[in-house]
Amino acid sequence: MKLLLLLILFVPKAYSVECQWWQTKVSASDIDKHPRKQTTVRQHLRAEHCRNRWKDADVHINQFSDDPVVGLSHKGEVFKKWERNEIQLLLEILPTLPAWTEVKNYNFRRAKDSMYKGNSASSELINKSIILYDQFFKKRNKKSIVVHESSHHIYKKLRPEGVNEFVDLSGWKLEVDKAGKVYEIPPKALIKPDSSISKEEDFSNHVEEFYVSPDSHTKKYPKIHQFLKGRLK
Amino acid sequence: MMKLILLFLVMACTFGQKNDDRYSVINRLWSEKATKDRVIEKLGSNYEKKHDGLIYRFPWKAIESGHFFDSSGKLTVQFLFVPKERFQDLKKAISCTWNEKSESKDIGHTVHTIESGKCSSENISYEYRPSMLLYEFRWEAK
Repeated sequence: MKLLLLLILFVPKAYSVECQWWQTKVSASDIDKHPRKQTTVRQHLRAEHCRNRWKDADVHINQFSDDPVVGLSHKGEVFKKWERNEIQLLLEILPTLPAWTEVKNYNFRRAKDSMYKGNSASSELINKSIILYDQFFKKRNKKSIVVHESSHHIYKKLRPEGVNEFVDLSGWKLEVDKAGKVYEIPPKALIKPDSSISKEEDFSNHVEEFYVSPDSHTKKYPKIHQFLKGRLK
Repeated sequence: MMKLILLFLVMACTFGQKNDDRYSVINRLWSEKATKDRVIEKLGSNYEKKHDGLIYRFPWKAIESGHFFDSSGKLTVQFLFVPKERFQDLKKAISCTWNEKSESKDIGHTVHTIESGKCSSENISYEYRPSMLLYEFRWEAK
C-alpha cells in the first residue's frame, strides 16, 4: 500500500516533460479512434510532450548568437546578449516571412548601435549573419527590415545574368572612361535614396517594397515587379 | 543515337573550352602588346568602339572586356569581367605568382569580403565586384 502511494506521488513528476520557454507543455491525453486519410488510427494514449509556441521555433532558436561576428571590423559596434523578449519577437516574425527570404539560413546577432547613425540592421555575407541593433526594436516595420537584410543574402542567387537583367530594368549603367576604368552609374530616379550605394542595395530596396506594398510596387515598377515575381519563389 | 551523344559530348567540351581559350588569348594579346587590328583578329568583329578602345559584351549584353591603346597603337589597358566559376580558369591561363588578399569591406550597411590579387611582374590585378557578382581583371601598363 505504501509503495503504491509512493508511486502515485512521485512517478508522474519524475517522468514529467521539461519544456523550453519557447514551447508549451501538452498534457498526456487519450486519443480516440479516428480516421486519417485512407486509414484508421487506433485509440491510443498520447504522452505528455512539448509543442513549439511559434512555428519552427525549435529551428529558429538555434539561429541566435550572443557572439560578435568573426572578422567584422565595425569600429565602435558593441555586441551584446539577446534578451528573451527580443528573441520572442523574432520567433513570432520569422515563420510569417515568405520562404524565398531563406531566413532559416542566417544567424542573428545583437549589437548596441550601428556605426551608421540611425541604422537598424546590417548584414555580413560570409558568415551569413544579420546584425540587429537597438534601433531595430524601436521600429514598427521589423518584418520589412528582416526581408531587406535577407535580400542582401539572396542577391548572389541572381547570378551575373540576373543582375544584368535587374540593373537594365532599374536603369543602372556601366560607364567606361578613356583610361579604361569601369564605373557603375545609378539611375537618376531611385526607389530610395540609398539605392545609389550599390546595385545590391537597390535590389534589396525593391524586394522590400515588393514585399511590403506589392500593389504600389507593381504600379510604379511593373517590369521590376514581374522580374522579382519570377525570381522570388 | 550514337551520333547524337557524340555531338552532345563535343558541344559540352567546346563550351567549357571556349572561355578558357578566350582568356588565354586575351592574356597573350597583353604579352605581345597587340594592336587594335590584332585584337579584332583574335577576339572577333562583334565589338563596339569606346573612346579609342574596343568593348566586347557577354551573351547577356553586359560588358565583358575592354581593350585600350596608347598613341603608338599598342595595347595599354585591358579589363575582363569573369564569373566566379571561371575565375580559376583565368588565373591558370595567366602564369604568374599572385599576391592575394581578402578584405572585409562595407558597401552600404552590408559587409562583403572582397578578394583581390596582384601579379606585379605582368602588371595584372583582379578584384571581386560584389555588385556585379564578377571578378574584374585589369592589365595596365606601368
